[in-house]
Amino acid sequence: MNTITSPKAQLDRTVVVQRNEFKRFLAVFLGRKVVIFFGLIILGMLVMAIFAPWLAPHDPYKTDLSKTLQPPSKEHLLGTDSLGRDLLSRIIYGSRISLKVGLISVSGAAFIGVLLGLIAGYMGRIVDTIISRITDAVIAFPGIILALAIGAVLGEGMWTVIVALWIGLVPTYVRVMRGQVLAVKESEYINAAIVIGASQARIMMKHLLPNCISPIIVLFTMNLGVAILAEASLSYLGIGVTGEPSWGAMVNMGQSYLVQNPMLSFAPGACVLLVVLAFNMVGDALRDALDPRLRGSSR
Amino acid sequence: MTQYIVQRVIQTLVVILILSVICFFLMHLLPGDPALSLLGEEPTQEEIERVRAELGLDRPVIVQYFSWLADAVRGDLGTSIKYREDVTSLILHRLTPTLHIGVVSFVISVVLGVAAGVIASIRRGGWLDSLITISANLGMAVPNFWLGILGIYFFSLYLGWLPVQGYVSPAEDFWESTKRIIMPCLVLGCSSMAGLARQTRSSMLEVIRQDYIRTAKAKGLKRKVVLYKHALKNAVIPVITLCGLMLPNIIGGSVIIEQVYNINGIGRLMLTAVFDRDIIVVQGCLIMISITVALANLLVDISYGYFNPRIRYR
Repeated sequence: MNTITSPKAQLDRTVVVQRNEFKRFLAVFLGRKVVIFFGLIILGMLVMAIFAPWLAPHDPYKTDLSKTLQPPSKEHLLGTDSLGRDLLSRIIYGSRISLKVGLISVSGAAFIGVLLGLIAGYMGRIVDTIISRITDAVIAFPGIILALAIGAVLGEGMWTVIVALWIGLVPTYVRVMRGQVLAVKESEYINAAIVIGASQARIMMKHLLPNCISPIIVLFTMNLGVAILAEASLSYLGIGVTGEPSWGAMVNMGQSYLVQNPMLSFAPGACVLLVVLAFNMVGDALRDALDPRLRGSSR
Repeated sequence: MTQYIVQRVIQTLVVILILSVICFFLMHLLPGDPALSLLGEEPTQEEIERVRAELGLDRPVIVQYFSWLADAVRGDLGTSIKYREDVTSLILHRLTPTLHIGVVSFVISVVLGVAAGVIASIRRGGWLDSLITISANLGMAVPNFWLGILGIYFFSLYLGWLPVQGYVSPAEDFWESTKRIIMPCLVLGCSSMAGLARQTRSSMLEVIRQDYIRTAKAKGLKRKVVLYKHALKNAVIPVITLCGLMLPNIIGGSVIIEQVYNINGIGRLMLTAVFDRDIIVVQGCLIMISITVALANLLVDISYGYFNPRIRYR
């Protein structure tokens, strides 16, 4: 015999299911020791970037030609560079650029990519063809090569890196979002929204977007690592950030003094490795926790 | 299969056409006048107009695009502002080191990456699996310019086993050439190798769980036959897709590797051209590299059809 449940009871049950789902997500995500470890590294980087002026033992811009290429000592824990600047202070300040470039470029790329993917997937036909073909073409450009071309147009600097990353990262978001929308748009609740006369914009923003966002969150986390690595690579090549301490540019400068003080290249490069690894590992764990098929599979 | 190939060829041609539009108009956004770059300091108005007419810059942009496209199709990518030399021959002169290192690095990363992934999946949960998984995670996060510098420090400066920098053609001295490229190739292929190892491991684990593998085992087939003839053959399909995605990484990474190891390849030519604002060279390198990637992706897609019968017989 069928029992008729009241709308309130149905709502209560939905809330309970959602709460259990969230608890399960947290249990899987935080149940991994690596997440805690690498999460602390990301937190450490955030603290370093925000409180750099208080944490840095010396002024990272102050040159002292009487103390060039000094080995690690009590006064300069990681030594000094070829202009006598304190390496540790420059590394602490370098985290600011990495974080700034990472956040601005990935947020911008995610915003544009999600919007285009949503439109391509939902509208279909000619709009989808145009967006998909342009996406295919942009993907054919290797990221660094594209950044070099943009460097030729805009000159060296932080915004060159950010624009290059926007162009380079957008196609991934378009593809992932488009795929998600294609899978979701035939659902009953979307048909129901069409039947009750909801506008296209409302269907896309209110119904499709929240149901397609999980893989975008994972991609966002992983792309932070990609962006930090790309910023370091471009700054190493000399077309990235100029004027401010950047980990990539510091590795480049240290390369000429490998014999005198290898720490000048080793330390900033190790920071890039650690931070990128942290974002990749947390992104991996996030993907496993959000995808019911993968829960605990790669633990 | 023929229909699939024709379809992919048409799609690639459309992509190449869009690439040419992006390359041309991206370079035309450059502030400044190429005629001024050619003429140097304080040219007269007549000189500027003469050079602009010679370069075809006085024509409408659309006409300039089609004229540039027609020349590019015939292999004429223009004349370098800095070197005063044909861009096509500049690129061809520097093609050997880039191609040599790129191909060797691709082969090394496919062979070692797939082998590591297979070993990790067979020894799942063991120390070898953990070692390969940790190395793969590190390999995907490590900056290749930094890894290159570490390599120079330990293998060249500290141990003295390998030369520090430079390139020698294999036709000149094969042994010296191999010694010089081994480190750049391994560094360039590091992240691709790591990605392939992870992908092969997870797709092997996925395939091993399938019913047909259980059937093969139940039939009494040898473990090796089950693993390599049945499992690996099916697990390799997503790996081929990843090989296609690796190509832009390897080509893009060559710019960094050529800079670290002081190798005069296409990547270095482009980097120098960016600093010299030699837009004709930048444009030429950009279109050549992107077409190479598009064609390589076409080859990967065709081989994907060959390995995956569901696509071949569709």
